[in-house]
Amino acid sequence: MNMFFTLLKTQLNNRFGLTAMRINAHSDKKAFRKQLGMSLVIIFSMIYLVAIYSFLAYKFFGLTLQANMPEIILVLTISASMIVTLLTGLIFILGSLFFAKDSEFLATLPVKPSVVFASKFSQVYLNEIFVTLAFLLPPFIIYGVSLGMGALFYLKALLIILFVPAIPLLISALLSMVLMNLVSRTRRRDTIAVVGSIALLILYVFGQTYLMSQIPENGNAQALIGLLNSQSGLINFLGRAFPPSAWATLALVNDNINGLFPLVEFICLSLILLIVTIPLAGKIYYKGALSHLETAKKNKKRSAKESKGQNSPVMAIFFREWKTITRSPIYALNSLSGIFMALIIMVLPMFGGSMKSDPQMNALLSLITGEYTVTVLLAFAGMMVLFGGLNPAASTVLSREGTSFWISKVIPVSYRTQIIGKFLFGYSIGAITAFATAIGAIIGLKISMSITAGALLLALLTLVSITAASIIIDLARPRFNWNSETEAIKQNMNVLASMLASVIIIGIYVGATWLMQTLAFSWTIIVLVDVVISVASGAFLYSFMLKYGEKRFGVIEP
Amino acid sequence: MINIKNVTKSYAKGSVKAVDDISLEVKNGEIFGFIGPNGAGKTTTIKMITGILKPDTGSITIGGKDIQTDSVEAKRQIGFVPDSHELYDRLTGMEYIKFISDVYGVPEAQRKANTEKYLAMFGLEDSSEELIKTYSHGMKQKITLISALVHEPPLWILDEPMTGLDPKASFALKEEMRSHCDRGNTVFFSTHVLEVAERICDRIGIIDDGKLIAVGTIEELRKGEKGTTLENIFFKLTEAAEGGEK
Repeated sequence: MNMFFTLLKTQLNNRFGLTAMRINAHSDKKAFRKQLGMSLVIIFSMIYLVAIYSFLAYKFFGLTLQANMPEIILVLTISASMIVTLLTGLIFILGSLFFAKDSEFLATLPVKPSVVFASKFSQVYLNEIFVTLAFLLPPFIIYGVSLGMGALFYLKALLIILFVPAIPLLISALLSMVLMNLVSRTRRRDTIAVVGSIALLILYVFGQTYLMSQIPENGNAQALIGLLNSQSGLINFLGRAFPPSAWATLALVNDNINGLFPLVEFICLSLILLIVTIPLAGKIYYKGALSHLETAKKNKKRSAKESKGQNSPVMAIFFREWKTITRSPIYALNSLSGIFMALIIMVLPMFGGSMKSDPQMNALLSLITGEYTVTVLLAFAGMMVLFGGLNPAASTVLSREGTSFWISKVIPVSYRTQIIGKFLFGYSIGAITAFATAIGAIIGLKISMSITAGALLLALLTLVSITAASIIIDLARPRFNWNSETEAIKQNMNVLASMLASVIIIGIYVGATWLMQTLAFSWTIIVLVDVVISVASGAFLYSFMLKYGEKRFGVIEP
Repeated sequence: MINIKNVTKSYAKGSVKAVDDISLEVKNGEIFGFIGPNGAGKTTTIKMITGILKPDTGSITIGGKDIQTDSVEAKRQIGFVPDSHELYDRLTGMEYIKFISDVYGVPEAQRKANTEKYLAMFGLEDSSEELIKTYSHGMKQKITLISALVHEPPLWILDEPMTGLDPKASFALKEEMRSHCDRGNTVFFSTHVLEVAERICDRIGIIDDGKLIAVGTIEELRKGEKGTTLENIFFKLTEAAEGGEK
């Protein structure tokens, strides 16, 4: 047990730079103030986001209270938290447990593999607890205070918050161990790991869709109303996307013995999964975690291929970025899975069981293809921009170089040219995602080609600003010291800042469109103005990115 | 070829002087050895010469081009091998060489010839299509060397280039360094292996505690004491420098 805490403490210290902060506090006060300042900015930003979220949750709770279904807020937030943890947990688990730089070093220590696994898993778990806390605490408090719940409610709420990440993370850990074990037996490990990870993520999404689509097929309204009128029926119905979320909710809403059994079920399942995972990790964890260190000796004598073709420096950098992304399971999962997700989300209605014959879904579809053409065009453009802009490729374009950033400093390519190469790379991922969304919209939602083409054009113009903004953010504070590729992306605040920037940029369009609509501008003018805003903001941010980037490259010291 | 004038580099708001007002000229056609104890400032100096770090004061020119104000042209003249081997792990050795060839604008015929020559010289023909992350430390060192040589720069800057090389590769490198200088080019390298420096360098600079404490040919450094090895000279000078501070 001591070894576990020693490992965990050291790894957390290394990851968060706690010793470095302590030393800076005494010897480099400027660096310390900068670190502290950044931490405070992040904390205040999180508080701000949580405050907005809490306000929205409070409004939503009010509606559910009027409908006499206040439990909805609990089951929905717990379900959402567990599903999101399941999806993002896979990326975290793979990166922190299987692709960390210190795996080789830890394997040489006299520590059991299960203990190493447990310490790394705990880091991921602690990270998720903070996110879960921010997500669940507001609705729990709103529910508890509004309905005058007693101390037992809050005690159960605390237990549930502590255990909510367990089931999804342990499922991710088990599946990752199996995947990496299989990968270790193949030769093309990285390719299999990339493809396998993306396939697993797609499987999760389809699995959720299947569970969500299991509503009574014959559409018997009376049966449905009967189901929803009972508290447990409602909770089980809404929690079908992730059944343990229903147990957690039932545990919370029932003060008596009816609440105890689901709580025990919930906690027991978490503990059973843990009891299964840790010993299994002891047997197979290292095989998967260290497989990337083994090299397969080629039996055939090969001579070097001819180095064909000469690329310009811009294209050399462009292709280098693409090769790096596609050959790293973590980078691929984070940056490229968005392309598949966008396509899947658009075509989901084709596969969603009774959703296909859902009259409300059909009504929505006819609305989309009907008279509100321009609104649909703008909304789709926004969606493409959101999907395309949320990937972390552009906002980590320097950070991902890590300790090999020295190469960018010594090659005889102007910083401006290097930034252009990186911009092209980041933009290409956003553009491909937008294309995937467009294709999905045509196939899945039967949106017309003309609307889709218009939306795509607007989205491609807007993605220039978003890509440039993301790169500017990474230029301002690149993160080069990371232990695993996951840290380069997932624990890089630049990614979050870039997502916020994307949301703000989209917000500007939404605001401008709303204002023009309020002033009774014609839709033609509105679209034209949106195009002008795209082009102008894109040109400005691109130009600023180049000027700022040239200065920053010169002073960044790897 | 290299002209360093009054260069200083400090850390921790000036409290730690990694390099303290050094001036140095490295001539065309010479192998210049740069030696010093650990933490003396060798790597910091090299990083400033190659443009990785910016000096606090002073200037550095490479073939007449300032590394800060005319950085692209200055860097085009350099083939650099750092002491660490952090490369693009997800590229193959060949892809990395191709990338470097592209950014240095090496014509196809030249890159083909040089790639084949150096892969054979360092015994990496069979491994060049493997990912760099599968390479041993020595293999990474070799790929870094090859990429620094493929574009035939007039100036080679090598930071402890022998570390991790097998004897055959080490010998080949020393031969290549000599041959490079015989063609009128320049080699600037740092090493801890004083016997190598003594044998192959035309001139040697000794840095200690951020200051350049001696520069000259091995004969000039001996100061008439025949038979004295570079090792003895080194210890004498660095201990004297230490004693002077005390």
